[in-house]
Amino acid sequence: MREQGQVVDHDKDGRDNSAPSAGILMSGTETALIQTTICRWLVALRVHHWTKSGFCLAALLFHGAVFDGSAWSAVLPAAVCFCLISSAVYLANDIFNRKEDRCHPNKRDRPIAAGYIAVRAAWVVVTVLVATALGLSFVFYGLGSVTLVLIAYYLLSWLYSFCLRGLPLVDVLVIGLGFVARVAAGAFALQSFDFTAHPTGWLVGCTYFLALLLGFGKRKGEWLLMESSEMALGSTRRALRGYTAELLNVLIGCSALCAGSIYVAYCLSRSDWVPFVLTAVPALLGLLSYLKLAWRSTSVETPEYLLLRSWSLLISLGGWLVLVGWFTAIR
Amino acid sequence: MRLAASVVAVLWICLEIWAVGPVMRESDQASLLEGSLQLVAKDRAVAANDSYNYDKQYLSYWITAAWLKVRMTDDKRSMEIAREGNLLAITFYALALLAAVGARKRWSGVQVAVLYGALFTPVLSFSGVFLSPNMLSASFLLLLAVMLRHEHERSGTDTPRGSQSGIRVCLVGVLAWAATAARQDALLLMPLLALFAAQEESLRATLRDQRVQAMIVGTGFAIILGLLLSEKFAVLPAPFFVLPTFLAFVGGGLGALLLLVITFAFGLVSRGSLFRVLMALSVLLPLIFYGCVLYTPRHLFLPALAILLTLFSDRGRACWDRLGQGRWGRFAVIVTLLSTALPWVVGVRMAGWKQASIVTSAPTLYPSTDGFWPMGAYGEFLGRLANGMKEPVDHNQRVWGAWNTIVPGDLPPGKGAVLSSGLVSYGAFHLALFGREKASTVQDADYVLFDERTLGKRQRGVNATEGSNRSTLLSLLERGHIRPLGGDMGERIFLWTPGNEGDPEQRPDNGVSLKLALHDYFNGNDFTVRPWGREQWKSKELAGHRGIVAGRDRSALEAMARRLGTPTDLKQIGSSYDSTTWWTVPITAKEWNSLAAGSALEMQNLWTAFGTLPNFMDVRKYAGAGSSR
Repeated sequence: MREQGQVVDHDKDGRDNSAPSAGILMSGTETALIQTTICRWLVALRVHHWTKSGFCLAALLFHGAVFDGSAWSAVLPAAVCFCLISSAVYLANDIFNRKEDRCHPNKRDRPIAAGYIAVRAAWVVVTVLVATALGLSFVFYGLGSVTLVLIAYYLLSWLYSFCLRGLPLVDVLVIGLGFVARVAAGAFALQSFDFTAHPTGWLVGCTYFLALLLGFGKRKGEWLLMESSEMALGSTRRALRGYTAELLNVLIGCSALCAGSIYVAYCLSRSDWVPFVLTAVPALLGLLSYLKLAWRSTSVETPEYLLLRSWSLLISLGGWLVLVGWFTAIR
Repeated sequence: MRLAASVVAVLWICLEIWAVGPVMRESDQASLLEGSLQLVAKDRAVAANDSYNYDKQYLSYWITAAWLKVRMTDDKRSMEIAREGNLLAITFYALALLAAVGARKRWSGVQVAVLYGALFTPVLSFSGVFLSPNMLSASFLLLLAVMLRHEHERSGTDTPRGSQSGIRVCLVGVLAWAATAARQDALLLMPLLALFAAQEESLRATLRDQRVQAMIVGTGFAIILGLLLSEKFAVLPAPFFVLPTFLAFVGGGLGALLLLVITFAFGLVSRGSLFRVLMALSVLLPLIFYGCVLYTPRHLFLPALAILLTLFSDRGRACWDRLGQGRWGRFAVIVTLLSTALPWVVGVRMAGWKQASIVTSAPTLYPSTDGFWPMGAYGEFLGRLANGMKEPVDHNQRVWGAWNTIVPGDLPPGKGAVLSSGLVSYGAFHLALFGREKASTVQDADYVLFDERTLGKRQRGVNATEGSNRSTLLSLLERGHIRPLGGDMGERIFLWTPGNEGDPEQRPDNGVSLKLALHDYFNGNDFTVRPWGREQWKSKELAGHRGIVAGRDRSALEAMARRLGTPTDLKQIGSSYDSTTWWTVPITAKEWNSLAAGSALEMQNLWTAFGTLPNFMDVRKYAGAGSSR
């Protein structure tokens, strides 16, 4: 095991020279090596972040087509495309940020930063993933809205990696757009299969502010982590220099308020608002639970694991899904 | 600063009392008066009452009935009754406001600024001069906010937390009942009052507070009693959300106060406390709720009142003071101060989307389901409202004025029905005032009364040029005869009686014929038709409005077109009322004025019509157009 803070020796291709040689391991346990390699690739591809592609399914839920097999077959390819392209984005991001990541207490163990995955191999995988995602989208949806949203998302991600990630506020605002792209793609996917769904202002607004909430929560977590580890702000993420704990608290609170208000307004604007407004109860409880975490702990730094750490969030989300599923199904 | 707060409140009250007149602004106002009149006359009982929204505002009916009983003499006419109703609303509200302002000993500059911003916001200012359940309910809410303040501030001594005198708790319960019984949507402000009155920032402690418990009991009792007393239950209007309408109504109704609402709510959530997030949500709750049923800027009354109520709670006042100490908060307050004052003086006149100019009088009006609202120049508009029965602002005053000219003796015996595009209650009120029985349907009626406007206007809330009331009216015209009973300011009230055995000498009514003929030209939007020279059309105000000159005689129109120097491209239109045709030439108000100056004799038989709104405002694109209200 590498000790904390140890600087890794890399060659010009980014290969980790301090890692044990492959030949020695192969001579030992070939299976273990394969398993380790697969695990490293899975980590590098951020498979656990594929849960974010679940936002593509939001249209399915709000269109009342949760129990419609054809609707699922319309939306799932879009979700898969987003899984693939987001993995490509993460991988490319890791390639570009490998030097910064090596200074981060958690990120330095990332396979590319740690040198377990060669940069050249990572580029090959990035290309394959992007080609597969776009190809899949073209096959299923043609050169329509879904493919265009996918391309826009990919371009935005590049813009984020190269220019915008260092700008405070802008970095999170752009990340929020990525979530909106997922939701919009899901709605467009349904539309392209002759469903009447479309990304409504409610859906887009609610998703965006929810994404901002998660984004600012993540920054707050990172900010607290930096403070507790007594590292200089901005050593791992330049944009952090522009934030303060107070500003992040305000942004988190305002994002939560906007997301909650838009959701309640959406519930009230539906023709079946009398039962549907009940879904606002778990939604607001979930928001309050998240706020409690965001204001008081560093756990929000990794939003993808949040559900595993907070029972109240898990129960709220579960309750909300059940209620929304029920009300849209009986509509 | 207490003096400054008092001056602001007194100034506002004086302004409102000055603007109170015998003016009708919306149909709900007439419904309330009608129901109250029937309570006074004992035509309807207190229980099993089927008045409009009785289950949700029964106390407003009772208060209005009691007021009319005391103030009304036997010979009072509808105009005077309308004035009495309007006076009742401002009297109640003014007394409650003065009590609330006077009950607070200390006022900071920020608090005074917020008081000014809230009171002078368009929705509160324009609502203040008319009778509405909102105003009566708001009076009780203001008193409730005063009763909810902490005991130690009132007595000036330290009393143990949580200890409340029994009388005070009872009063809180009664006021909560009264506010909800006067208008049920006061319910939306109860969370705000409870959370802002809590002595500790804890939801559990708030619910244990005896005052909050009394509020819950009072509110619940008001709702249950409403259900028991009413014979029918009003359902909420169908929700809808149209972003441009929402923005226009919020901008026009709340104005600069919106900035304070948002700043206040965001200021609360930035404190990093879940309780404060709930407080912020409670401030936004009325706005969120009404955002989806925003048929008129008047519906923003509660969001504006929410800000006013925060000024009378300890926690709310502390929040405002803290907000005033911050840079952003101070900025928001200053911007609100300036942005509240400015539109009272200047407004916008728009002839089209790209033709706007700044004016200090006669700004462009925009439609809502109640009536027209101004794009700024609020001071001048308030003056116009005060004088509304001489120079009407919109159809409400014109139609109400026309109804006011009806003599009871002209009505035939039997049951009467009223047909109108949105203003049925004006006729129903007059039937109640004359002690005449109202038929529940047109089929049951011995006669039908309708206003001329309905001939050319679609029914609100229907996304079509045709409405059900107008359709019924057209079918009636085919199997009966009509005669005008009265009229004023370009509107007439007609009496329809069944059968074709009418007066053989009676000639077809040209006004009715033309109104029906021009319905398609104006696309179902409101318009006014007048014989040539009867009305001085104001060319500045009518810039961008669709206009037309019509006549039976083609040669007169051709002569007119020659004088205008326009090609004599006359268009022929037919009317479903009679078999004769009309010849028409489009015209602008400016052109009309140039012709009117040297009006020739042959033009005296011509008619002129102008849309009441600029051409770019098609009401079918506006609030609730697609809803099933």
